[in-house]
Amino acid sequence: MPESPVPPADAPAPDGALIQKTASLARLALDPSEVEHLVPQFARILGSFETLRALDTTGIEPMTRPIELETVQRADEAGPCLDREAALGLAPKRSDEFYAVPKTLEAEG
Amino acid sequence: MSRPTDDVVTGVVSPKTGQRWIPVLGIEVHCQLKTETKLFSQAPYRFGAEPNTRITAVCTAQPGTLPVLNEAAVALAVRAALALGANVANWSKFDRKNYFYCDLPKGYQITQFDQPYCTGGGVTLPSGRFVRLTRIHMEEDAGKAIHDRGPDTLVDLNRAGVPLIEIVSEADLCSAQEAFDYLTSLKETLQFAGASDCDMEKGSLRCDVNISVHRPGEKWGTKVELKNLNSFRNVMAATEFEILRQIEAYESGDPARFPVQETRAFDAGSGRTRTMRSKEDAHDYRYFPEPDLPPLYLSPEFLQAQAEALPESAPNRRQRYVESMGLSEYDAGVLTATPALARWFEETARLCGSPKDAANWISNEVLRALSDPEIEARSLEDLPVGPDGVAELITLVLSGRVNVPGGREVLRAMLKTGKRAGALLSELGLEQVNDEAQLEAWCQEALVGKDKVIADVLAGKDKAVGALVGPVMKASKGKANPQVVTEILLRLIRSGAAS
Repeated sequence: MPESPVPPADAPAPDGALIQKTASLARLALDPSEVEHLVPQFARILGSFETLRALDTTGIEPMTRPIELETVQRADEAGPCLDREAALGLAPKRSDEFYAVPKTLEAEG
Repeated sequence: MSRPTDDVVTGVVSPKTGQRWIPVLGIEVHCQLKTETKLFSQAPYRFGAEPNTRITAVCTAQPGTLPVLNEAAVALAVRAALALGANVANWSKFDRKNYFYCDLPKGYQITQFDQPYCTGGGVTLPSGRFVRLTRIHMEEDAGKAIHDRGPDTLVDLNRAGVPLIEIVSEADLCSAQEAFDYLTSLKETLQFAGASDCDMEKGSLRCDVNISVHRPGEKWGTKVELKNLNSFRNVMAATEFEILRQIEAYESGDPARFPVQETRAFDAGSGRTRTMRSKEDAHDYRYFPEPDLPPLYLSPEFLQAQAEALPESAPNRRQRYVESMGLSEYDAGVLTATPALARWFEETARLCGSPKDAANWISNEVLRALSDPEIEARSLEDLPVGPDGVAELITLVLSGRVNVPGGREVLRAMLKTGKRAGALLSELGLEQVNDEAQLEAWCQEALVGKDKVIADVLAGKDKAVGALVGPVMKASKGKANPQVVTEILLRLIRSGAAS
């Protein structure tokens, strides 16, 4: 099983480094004053989860959303596709029939 | 049922030290579900389609779009799970796996994280050993990034959003051969369940192997993930190489050389694995529940309906072919190589009424035609003749209208031209000659001067007459019924008419 999405009870309190790392994962550029501003905010948000964590939830089913809904499904029927020219025209750059992006080799050694 | 203990595992003997090592393998398989459209959009995916022509606003992540789940993908995912004896959860949810890469326009992949739709189940290897599955979950595929054409990376989003199931095994496998066997059995199960084509060449089956080695009884070694394995043969070769590489690394005694937790790619050309460098944070996916999709509930009625719609498995078909159709185990194996072939055979057998003849004609003649350069068909679907055509031919042979060699010729012509057997029979002049007077005349001719054969037959050696069947067949231009010819020759000799 992959690791749980919920931070463990002994997770470190948010500090500047953690905020910077999270921001870089989300491709957000933060300057130091913004980071300083965000540290107490994150601490407050995570603190409220600590309040929740104190409750005894033994035997209670996890709730992933506040309103009981069931996902809708659709029939497996083809619909119209985008016009390629129109779709590629929305991109900053294209190369023939492809989207073109800066060379990004994620997985080469 | 669990992983066998180290003392019963054969293991791998180090070529250097002669020590026995225990490989531990787990496999993750990504399998494309055989739907018409994508998991969350109505784009009809086709392998080989022109780049960026199978995309909608959803697959290209245009602002304001919402995913809507494809019910056929859910049904096929459930059938795959049931065919693998797994437990299907009555509710599951979708999550976002966040990462930035050009093949993923949304910046996240919709997958299932901590509440997958399926857990447990397993695959039985030909050796009889049961390999447990941890889980199966549904997810969408990413697009394709092309790095070797020009200065930019080129992106084709046709594949983005194609429905996949990821099948995760327990670390129950103990050798490269078992990895191969596991994948072969898994593929057969998925194909026969109708869930996937499992065509590795088209990317509809992909696998990653996790490997570690340890000395018997000791703690498991560090796990290495192998990627880029595009055939089962490559899985075997890569796994064999990696097991020996890890053994050698540990035996060097140099901790700096010990395997580290990493992803390695297999290079089929050199037969070696090599480190795939990836960014440090690449695996910090920050999963969270997909807010655009409420949970998925699967009713007992829906699950029951999928169980009833599940086609017969390959092992059950083989057993039925042997036990109630009288085929050999070998033929039963040949004819269940793919679901399409099994259906072809069963339809032919039903129409001609003789499973054994259907098996012979299909496994000997029809399958051979698929590798015949003169017949431009590489799969059964490409053939201009269907089971009804072959069944018609078999019926003509069984009723004596054409002999077996003539039948073969007719079939070849059918496969080349798509014409019916009956029409070709007269067109090629292969209609079997059953006219006794004509056959007797040819036999009389063949007997002239064959005193040795005649004497042998009269001395009780009936088989000697075989030498004369050929000349008669030749005189008839292949149209005589060889069995009837044999009978006539014997009758002529015994009655003295030949002397």
